[in-house]
Amino acid sequence: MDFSSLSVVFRIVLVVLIFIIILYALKIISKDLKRGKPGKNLGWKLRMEYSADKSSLEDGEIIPIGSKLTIGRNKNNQMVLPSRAVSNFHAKIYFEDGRYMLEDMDSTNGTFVNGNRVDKKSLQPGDEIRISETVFTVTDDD
Amino acid sequence: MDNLTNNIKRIMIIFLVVFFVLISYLAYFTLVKGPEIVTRPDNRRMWDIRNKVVRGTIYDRTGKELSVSEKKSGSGEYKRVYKGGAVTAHALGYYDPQYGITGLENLYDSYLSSNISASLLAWIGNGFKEVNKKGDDVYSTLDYQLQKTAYDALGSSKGSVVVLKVDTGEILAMVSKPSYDPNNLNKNWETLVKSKNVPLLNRSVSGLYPPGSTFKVVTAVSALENIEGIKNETFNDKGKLNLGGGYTLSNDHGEVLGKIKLETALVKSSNVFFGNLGIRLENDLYKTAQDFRFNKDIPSNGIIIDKSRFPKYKTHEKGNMAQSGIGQAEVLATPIQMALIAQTIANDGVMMKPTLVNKINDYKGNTIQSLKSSEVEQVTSAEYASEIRKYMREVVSKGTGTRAQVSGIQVCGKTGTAQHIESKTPHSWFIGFAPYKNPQIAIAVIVEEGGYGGVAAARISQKVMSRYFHK
Amino acid sequence: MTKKLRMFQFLIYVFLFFGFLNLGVLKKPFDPKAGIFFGVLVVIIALTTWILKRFYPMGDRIIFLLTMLLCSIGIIMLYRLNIKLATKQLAWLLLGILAFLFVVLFLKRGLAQFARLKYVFLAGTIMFMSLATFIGYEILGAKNWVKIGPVSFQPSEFGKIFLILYLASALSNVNTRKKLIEPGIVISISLGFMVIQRDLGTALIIFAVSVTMVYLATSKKLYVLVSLGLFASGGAASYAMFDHIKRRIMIWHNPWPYVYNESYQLVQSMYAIATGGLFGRGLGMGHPGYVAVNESDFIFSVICEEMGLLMGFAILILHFLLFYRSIRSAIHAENNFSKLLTAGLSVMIATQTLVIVGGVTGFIPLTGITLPFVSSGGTSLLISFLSLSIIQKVSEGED
Repeated sequence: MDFSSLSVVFRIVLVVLIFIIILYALKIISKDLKRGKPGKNLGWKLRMEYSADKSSLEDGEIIPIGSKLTIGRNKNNQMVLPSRAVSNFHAKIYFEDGRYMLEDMDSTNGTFVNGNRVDKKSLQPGDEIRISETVFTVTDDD
Repeated sequence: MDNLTNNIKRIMIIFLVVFFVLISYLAYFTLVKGPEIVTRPDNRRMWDIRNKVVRGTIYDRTGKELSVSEKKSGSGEYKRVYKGGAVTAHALGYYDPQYGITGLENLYDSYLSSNISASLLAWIGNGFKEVNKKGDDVYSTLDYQLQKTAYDALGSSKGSVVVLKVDTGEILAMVSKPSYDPNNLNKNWETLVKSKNVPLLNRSVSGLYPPGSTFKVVTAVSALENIEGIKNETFNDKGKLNLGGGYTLSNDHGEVLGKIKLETALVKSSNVFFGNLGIRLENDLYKTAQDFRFNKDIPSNGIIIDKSRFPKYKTHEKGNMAQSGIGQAEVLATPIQMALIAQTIANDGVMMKPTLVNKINDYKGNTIQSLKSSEVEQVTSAEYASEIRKYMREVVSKGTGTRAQVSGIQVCGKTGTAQHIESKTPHSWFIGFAPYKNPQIAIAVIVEEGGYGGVAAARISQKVMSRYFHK
Repeated sequence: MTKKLRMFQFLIYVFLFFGFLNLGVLKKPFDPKAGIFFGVLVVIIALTTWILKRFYPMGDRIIFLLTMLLCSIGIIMLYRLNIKLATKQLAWLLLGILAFLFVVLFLKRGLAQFARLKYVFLAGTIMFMSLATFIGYEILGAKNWVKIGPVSFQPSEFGKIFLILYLASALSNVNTRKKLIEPGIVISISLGFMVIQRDLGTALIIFAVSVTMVYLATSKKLYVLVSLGLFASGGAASYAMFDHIKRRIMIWHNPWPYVYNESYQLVQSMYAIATGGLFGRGLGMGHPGYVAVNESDFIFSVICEEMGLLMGFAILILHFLLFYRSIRSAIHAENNFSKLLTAGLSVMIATQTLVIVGGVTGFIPLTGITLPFVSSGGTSLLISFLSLSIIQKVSEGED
């Protein structure tokens, strides 16, 4: 077989492949470009993994974070967790500088991300948040 | 650091722009500048690519082999053999891994070393079997016998002869002297490069000479175009033209021609008459010279022609104006430029694109490109061209160019004796065409330091034309 | 998201497959080593992605995959040039990935604590930047290599990292102009050493990194303009003072008169790229042997010759995407030190790419540095992976 001819096939295949890969990468990356417009948040949500008190929220329920979400026992919070172990104003999640921040508001029993107690932390999709016995995960699915 | 997101965005944009600029430059470099860079003789890569293909053959118009690749005895390598030797050296150029590649070999290299036969398509077409890697053959317009005649006629003189077909612009002969043997570059390279006679220079297309009186043809055309009634105007040639400031212009041998018209002035080559025209025409002569493509690129095929020069003088520079009217001052022309002037007059004022290649055949013998003749442009009207033809016929029949006569053929022409700075002996010029009725070929001859145009150059023209018409 | 990532990963395998298949059939009947290389690379990628996913599900895996793609192109080319070099590169790649995973997985405590080590970084910067001036030897016109025992390396490679660490720590709490004086002096000293060692490429990188970090720390365009002005006048002064800089500029301005002498390397590189054209001459079909240092500084040229200009474009685009992804992760950083560190490292890798690719194509004066992740070279690869691990760490939002 004449290799110089075969090499024509190879070089075209390699170049085409690499550009398909680049297009793929662009497709994945463009997702956060679309969301990254100023003034808008990324539209992430919380998914209820385990609801301790079975009152207002059910397992698997999806709660949009919006630009700010406050969590606590007090009725004025956006998300109310009636459990005794939850402080009145327990924690808040807000969108700032292109990312979501979770801030503990000096709660008595603390806020945990992936098992670690935090005061303030930026969130990533997949992070697991625990307040008292209630567990959410952060998700970026549409 | 509060504006971090915005700042990072700005930095990203700056880098995006820089990456984009670099990619654009790379594209420009490879696609626009690349082809020119790749063909530089010091690029060893191209030689490796060329060596994979048996280089195509260059033929003359009758099918005689001029340049072929032959297998070296004892090794698998090929060597370029020039059957025409020094006779066709400048027209064909040379192809040598050590010294590079020039002339037609260079300009048609992409065909001669074409590896289309090594391509994927050829491979598939041949039933997935390896195809003989042979480049395309180039059929040149040269007539080897005519070329040889011109080469011999120039003898040991330096100079050039260019012969064109009047109706197509095909180059039948293109000789430059001194020449060299392209088969023995290795042996002679040092002397070739160092010689002050620059034998490697193709004088036909790159030699710039003062055209002298042969340029009077252009001045005459300009006069017909711009001065009404010049044909019948009488002028008193007293043998001297006063240019002011103590400078004068005189005829050869100080001749006094008396009351003459344009026709006689051209036939007898009156410097006084044409010097006066140069002054009268002012910048109209500049325009006519540009029409004949002085100062301009001449479209061509298989050769690259250096620009001939006609400077623009201010109207008060009377001396230069007069000198330019007789092809002196700083007027410079290549031999092929002068041949094209003759060709244009012979072809009713239409200049044809000079071409060195007729057709290209691929490795199977199929013609893949057949080159048609094309016009450069209508330089002057058919009427004026025909008037000048009449005068040029007179030049050869009874004027300064009688030595160019060929038995049985009505030859037309114009002689020139060009002063130059290198030595006191002038260059000898002749431009012309034949026959008078239905011209077939046009010619330009220059013999460096050959003395009177009516002698050396006209004789060479006579030999070349005899050969063409009486084979 | 994960589905697309899996597809992305799969496409990289396909690319590697065709690349090594091509290399394999270059030898008749078939070169089994190419198959081994393919297998090893696939396993490395699969394993590392799995570990990243298993232990750090929220990290940015695109950064790692983009890097592996660049490394793959590099190893394919190196394999074609010299199998020994490719094997060595594969070993270094493995070492680099191990270092990367080590930092990502085991450096549990936050990065911020390192901000305290400002003067350690300062000392490291000055030491590594100056080292080659005193005990260095010359390679390719730049006196920037040091040999200790059997190992030779470029101290400036480490110097760059230390400078970025130092700047990140020094600039993280800039509130008065006075606090800029010390970093300014350190930057100038580093630049000065690079000029003396004739390592102009690194000088350019140091400058770009410093300006970016100062801008990020202060948000003041004025400082950028002042730096540009100082750099321009410093450049003009060095041009007047040093012959080697004059020669560089002269070669860049018009390489053709010195084809057999000073500009030999550049011209051969230009021939390689120009001969390759859009799709290249095919792996194994070009003449990389004509290009000097074809495995390192000029690897971009030989890639262009054999795999085509389009592959060259792909390398640049991949590097830009990597840069985008990296510097973007600075947004997730919790503190100024991490932010500046990430940004500095990202700019370093990107500038290095621009400087060497611009150099081998004659766009800017040529200076010898490596093309990150693609060129052969142990220290360079290791350092690139260490930088990447810090970026990756930050992208996860360290605590």
